[in-house]
Formats: sequence, C-alpha cells, structure tokens
Amino acid sequence: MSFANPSDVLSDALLLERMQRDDEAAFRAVYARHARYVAGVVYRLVGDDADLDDIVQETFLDATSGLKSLEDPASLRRWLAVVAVRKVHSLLARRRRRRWLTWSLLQVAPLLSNPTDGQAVEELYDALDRLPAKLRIPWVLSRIADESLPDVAVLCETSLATVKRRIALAEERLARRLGC
Amino acid sequence: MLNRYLAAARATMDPPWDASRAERVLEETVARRSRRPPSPALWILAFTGGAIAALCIEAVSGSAGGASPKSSDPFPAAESAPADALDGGKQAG
Repeated sequence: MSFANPSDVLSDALLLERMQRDDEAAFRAVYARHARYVAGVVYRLVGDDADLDDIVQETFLDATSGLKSLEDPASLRRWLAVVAVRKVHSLLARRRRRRWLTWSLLQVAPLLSNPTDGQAVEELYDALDRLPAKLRIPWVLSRIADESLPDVAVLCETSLATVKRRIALAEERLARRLGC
Repeated sequence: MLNRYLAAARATMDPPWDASRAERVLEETVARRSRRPPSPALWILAFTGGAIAALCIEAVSGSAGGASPKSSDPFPAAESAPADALDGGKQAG
C-alpha cells in the first residue's frame, strides 16, 4: 500500500488537526493506521463481509465530517469504532426488518480463516441473527472482539450497567438457542 | 456455557482484510470524500447570503434616484400650451 509517508510517525492528534484542514495525506495516514481495526470490529459484529467495504467507507467518511465534535483527539480510534458500531447497528436492524418481511433467514455464511470451526461459528452467528442489535452488539464486542466492559459501554454509547444487563440477556438467549 | 462457540469464533473471525482490499476501499473512500456534496448548513448559508446580497443591490439602486432620465430614454413629447400662455398671460383672450 502506498501509505509510507512522514504522517506515519505523527500522532493521531496531529493528523486530526491536519484532517480538519482537509489534508488528504493525513486522511490516508489515519486510514492506514486504523482501517484494519475498524474492519475487524465490523466483521466480528456482522459475521460476514458482504457489507464490510461499505461500512468501512461510510465510517471514515462520517468520522471525517464529525471530527469537530471529537473532544479528545487522542481517542480517534475509539471515535472511529463508535461510528462503525452505529453503522453496524443500522445494518443489522435493516437485515432484521428484511428478514421479517421475507419470513426467511438471511443466509450469508461467515467467511472463516479456519473451515474446521465453520460449523460452530455458523451456528453461533445464526443464533446471533435472531437477537436484536442492542443485545448482539455488546455481546460480540465483549465476548468475541474481547473489548473491556467500559470500552463496550463507550462503543455502544450507553451505561456500564446497561451493557452488563444486555450481555447477560444475550448470553441467556444464545445458550437457550444453541442448547447449551 | 458457550465456550465451544466462543473459542471457534475467536479463532476464526479475523477480518478478510488484506492490503489490496484496504487499498481499493481507501481509493473509493477518497473519491467519495472529494465529491461529497456540501453540508445543508453550507447551502443555508449560501442562500441566506444570496438573499441579503439581492436586497442590498435593490436598496442601493433604489436610493440612487431611479427617476433621473438616462441618455437612452425616449425624448419626452412636447406639451401643447394654450396660446395665451405664450406672453405670460398678459393679454387676455
């Protein structure tokens, strides 16, 4: 990738300042630094990569236009994740609505790095597809993406207590669905 | 409870995100970023500015004495005067 430039060694705060002046090189540097992380969050939440490119694109576009509301420049990575989680929330809600309309499950099998675990992961995401996004997202962020509970609360833009309650509820429903 | 599923998901759910995909998405994002329409606030600002400018132009042209004749105006038609008006009305009849 053609990301190698002096911006690689700059802090997020400095890049942010340049991005606010519409500096494309700074935008590219921020993308190079954080796109993989954003893609990972999105992929684990959604369970497939059908909309991955679109969500990563939208995340960086929206994050750019909302930069002025970013109080702490050092939290750029977290800000990007918050925007990505919002996008995933909308996507999952759309998918659920579509499923209700068509009375069928959306069958987009997860693309797996290791096909031997495919069955278990497929069953898990099949069960996750039946959960509302507000339960699914904190559960996946906490259990699969391994984010800390306070971080999950920040990413879901809700309180720690609410996040704990939702994760517990999601866990209960998943266990019932998967027969654990 | 869900350990088997969690272990499988954690082991396998690495995003399919290689350099070429990242590059392609970046170029599309940069292209979309450069052709993004201005925000609604900018449109409102532009319309307000335009309206104020139009009002100013109208006010300035109005106060500059719109009644003064211009060289391109048609010459006014001569008014006919009564014959007794020629001598200042000294002679009656």
